[in-house]
Amino acid sequence: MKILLAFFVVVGASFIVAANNMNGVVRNYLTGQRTREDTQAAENLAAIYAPLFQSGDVTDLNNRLQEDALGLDGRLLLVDTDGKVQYDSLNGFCGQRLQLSEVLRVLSGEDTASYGMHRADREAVYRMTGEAEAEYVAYGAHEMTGSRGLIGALVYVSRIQGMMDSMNQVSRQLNTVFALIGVVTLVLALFLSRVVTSPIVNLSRTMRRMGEGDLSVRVPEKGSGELLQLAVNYNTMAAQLEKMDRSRNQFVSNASHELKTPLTSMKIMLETMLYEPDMPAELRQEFMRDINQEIDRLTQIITDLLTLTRMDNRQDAMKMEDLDMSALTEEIARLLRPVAEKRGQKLICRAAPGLRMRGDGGKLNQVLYNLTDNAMKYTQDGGTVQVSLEEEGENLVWRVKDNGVGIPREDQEHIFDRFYRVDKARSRDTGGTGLGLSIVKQMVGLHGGSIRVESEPGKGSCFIVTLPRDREGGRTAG
Amino acid sequence: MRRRRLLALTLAMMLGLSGCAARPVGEDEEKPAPTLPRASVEWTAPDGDFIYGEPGLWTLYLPSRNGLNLAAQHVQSTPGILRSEEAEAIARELLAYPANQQVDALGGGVQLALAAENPVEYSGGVVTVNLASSALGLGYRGVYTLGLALASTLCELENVRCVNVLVAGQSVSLDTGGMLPMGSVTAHPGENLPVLWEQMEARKTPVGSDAAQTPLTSYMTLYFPLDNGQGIICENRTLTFPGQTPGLMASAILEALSQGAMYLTGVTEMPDLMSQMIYEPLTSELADGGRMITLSFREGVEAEWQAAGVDPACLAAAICYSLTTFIPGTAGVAIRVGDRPMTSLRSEKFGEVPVLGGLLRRSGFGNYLMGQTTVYFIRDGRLAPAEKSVDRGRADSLRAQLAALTEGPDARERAEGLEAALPEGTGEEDVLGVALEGDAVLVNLSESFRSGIQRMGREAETLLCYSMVNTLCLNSGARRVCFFFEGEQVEYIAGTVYWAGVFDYNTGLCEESFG
Ligand SMILES: Nc1ncnc2c1ncn2[C@@H]1O[C@H](COP(=O)(O)OP(=O)(O)OP(=O)(O)O)[C@@H](O)[C@H]1O
Ligand SMILES: [Mg+2]
Repeated sequence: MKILLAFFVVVGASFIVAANNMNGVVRNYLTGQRTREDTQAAENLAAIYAPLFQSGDVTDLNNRLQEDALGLDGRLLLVDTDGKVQYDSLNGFCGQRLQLSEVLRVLSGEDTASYGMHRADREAVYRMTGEAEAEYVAYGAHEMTGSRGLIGALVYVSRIQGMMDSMNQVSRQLNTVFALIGVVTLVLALFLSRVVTSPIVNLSRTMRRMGEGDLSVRVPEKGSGELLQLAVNYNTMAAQLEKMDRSRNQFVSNASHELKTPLTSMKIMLETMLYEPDMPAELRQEFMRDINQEIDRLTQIITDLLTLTRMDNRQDAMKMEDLDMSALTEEIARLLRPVAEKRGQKLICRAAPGLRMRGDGGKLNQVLYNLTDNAMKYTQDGGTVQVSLEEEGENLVWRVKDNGVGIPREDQEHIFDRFYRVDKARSRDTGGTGLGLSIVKQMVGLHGGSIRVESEPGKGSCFIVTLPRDREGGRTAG
Repeated sequence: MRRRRLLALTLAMMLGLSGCAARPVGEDEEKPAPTLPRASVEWTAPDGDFIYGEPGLWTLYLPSRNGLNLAAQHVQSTPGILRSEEAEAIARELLAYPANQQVDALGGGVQLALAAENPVEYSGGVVTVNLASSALGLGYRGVYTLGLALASTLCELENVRCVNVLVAGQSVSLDTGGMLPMGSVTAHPGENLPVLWEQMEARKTPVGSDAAQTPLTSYMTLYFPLDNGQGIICENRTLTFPGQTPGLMASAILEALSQGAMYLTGVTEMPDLMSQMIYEPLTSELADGGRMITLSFREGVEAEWQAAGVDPACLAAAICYSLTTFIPGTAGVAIRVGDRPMTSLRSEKFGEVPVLGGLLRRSGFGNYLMGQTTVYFIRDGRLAPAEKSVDRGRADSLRAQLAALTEGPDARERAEGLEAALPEGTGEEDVLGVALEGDAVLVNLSESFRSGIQRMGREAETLLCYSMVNTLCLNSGARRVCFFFEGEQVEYIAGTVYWAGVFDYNTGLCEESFG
């Protein structure tokens, strides 16, 4: 609206300026022409009257003055060097001193001729020109010189009311024309601006609705050029926002569910123990152990969530150090081997020796631990898990391979999401929360690396982690 | 914020631009009016009356050595004298001018001089030169040449049209019959003198013919009585006479007088003199030489004249002047009423007129001849000229003109619509000084004159001013007038006229220029 107003003002002002300029041109032309004519007349007359004024026949002078004034439709005055009117074609000013600036300029020797158009009250103009109802009058003064220099000035009182009237009429017509054109232009401009601004108006309306919470709205992608680009980009952004919003909702519901499950089972066991005071001690012992387990699980979940949140908020500073990755890999394998053996699984570790990189030891430790833990978890007893570390170009690559249940293709892209688990029921048994891979991905990202999975259901999975070797901080991930 | 400022700036620029484009016509009423410096004049105010003439040259015309024409001679003029005095001074110069390489002296062997009484009269464009009787020694042709020389010389003066030549107070004849008058002579510079004399001789009554049967046409001067017994004034006329006898001439002149003045104003409505006379004019010779013309009017004619507003003394003066100035050798006029000669004549203004033996002589009316000066009064918002009679010696005196102006129009002039231009209550005493300097008249007026102007007001001021300017310039030949009040130049009095500086003679405000 403001833009529109500014537009109106600018267009209006331009028209005023244009009309004014046109008027000015007409005015200048007419007044310029009149000025030249009158000045010329005054000059010619001054040359004629100077000798008569100095030593002439008074009656002849008066008669000629009247005739000439009549011919010019003006008034002629002969003024002496004191500025006193000595001869006047209408006689009324004889003996008076008219304080006309034109006369002063000529008599003071400032100029040989001077001309000026004036606007004055009607009575004053009437006194000067004898013209009733006139507002304008012009004076042209020209010096008269005689044998002894300046002897006075001839003043031509010119009736310019007629010219002014026609000028004002022209100006009125011009103004009318300009006003009409202006109105037409404004209407056209208004229409055009509607066309131009409507996409913007749409966009702003959509944004407002989105701001109010409705993320599903989209901008119509029509038109061309920048505005189309803007609409497309905006829609992309909106889609992204909507997706993020949905995954956040999912996450919250998953998290609450995960937290609620152990609490529910704990509450059942505690109630059983509470209402059956005389339950066998063995059973009570078992219940207590279960409760303890649930508490561990809760603790684990909360720890994981905290880890993730911290990494999300980038609060967890990277403790970069020079790491012996070969030793780190071996250490994890050594740590987890007893668990594998308990389930009759084979854990094979093949780490190329002496591979080093800069990184956060704790975090990389957890990456490999989580991956190996998953591989063991989702592989039947007696299966095989292989862990390897290799150097590939600038990068170090971990491969954690198993011959377990594998991951269906449609789940593969989701397993890195928080709380996502392929087989919710089974995972329960294995005590998973679905946060492990999220953490892994986050941590790998912090090191500037990447993770991907190759898997076939029933045959096994392979998680491949690629870590750049020389990387300080690795803050690009996110 | 910045954008708004930019917008405002743009708008301001546009408006400024549009302001430049349409240069409006100046409305300069609020601006303080430019002021011209106070006018100043080179003169100081006259304290008393003066004429500061620059010494110049008078042109005298005398017969050339070969006698063929009149040749110009120049003498130093005497600056600072009035026109009437100037005429006399020039006449004296001319009469005394000695012969030289180019010209003969006018008198030749004769000692010329002006008469003792009324030597030169100047009135209404006519100069009458009264020569001492020695001039009679010149002979007819010599007197005529003298008349031509006087006329050519005196007509050089402004406002002089013609000259009457008298010898010992009488008109001279140019023929042996004693009846051919010279009449009023106009200027003839450069013309062939023998031819002029031949033309004059051709008008004589041929030898053997009856003078009463020889008609004559002559340019002459008629004198008319002024209103209210103010004196007489002259007017020139070309008259035709049926014969060259005093009686016929007198009858023709009286008839012309009865018809009244042709262009003079302020003269009395004339009675029909011819019908009031009971006899034809009679001519008789006087013992001491010269003729007497006797006019016989019917009984009670004086009362008739009085009733018609004719002053008998002035009428007698007019008749006497008209007849004696023209009819050669006329010493005087006798007027009879009924059967009695008129023995006493009294004028309120001029007193008792000497009537010796019933004879009214020209010299007896010496101070009756008035001059006239034109003053401007006001009629319908314009300056209207009016003739005012003034002592003929003062006719061209600036003071007399201003005095006539302050007097205002008389009853008859008022009836013609004339109004006074000058403030009431002003008089000659308010003119502290008046001087003619070069082509400018300087007038020094009193403080009471100034307050009189103030009382008259803005509207009347312009005509008031120009009535004085035009009156003074018209009669003096000056071109401009400069006013002082108590010796100082004053800028404004009533508010309209700018009194400082000079005022040019301007007939634009006068009636005639619109006739
Ligand atoms: N090596 C693997 N073979 C088959 N399925 C796997 C393998 N690793 C992960 N998965 C699937 O991906 C899901 C997510 O793994 P993730 O490690 O994030 O969670 P979890 O192991 O269930 O719980 P925890 O958070 O305790 O590790 C698992 O529930 C499992 O279904
Ligand atoms: Mg796991």
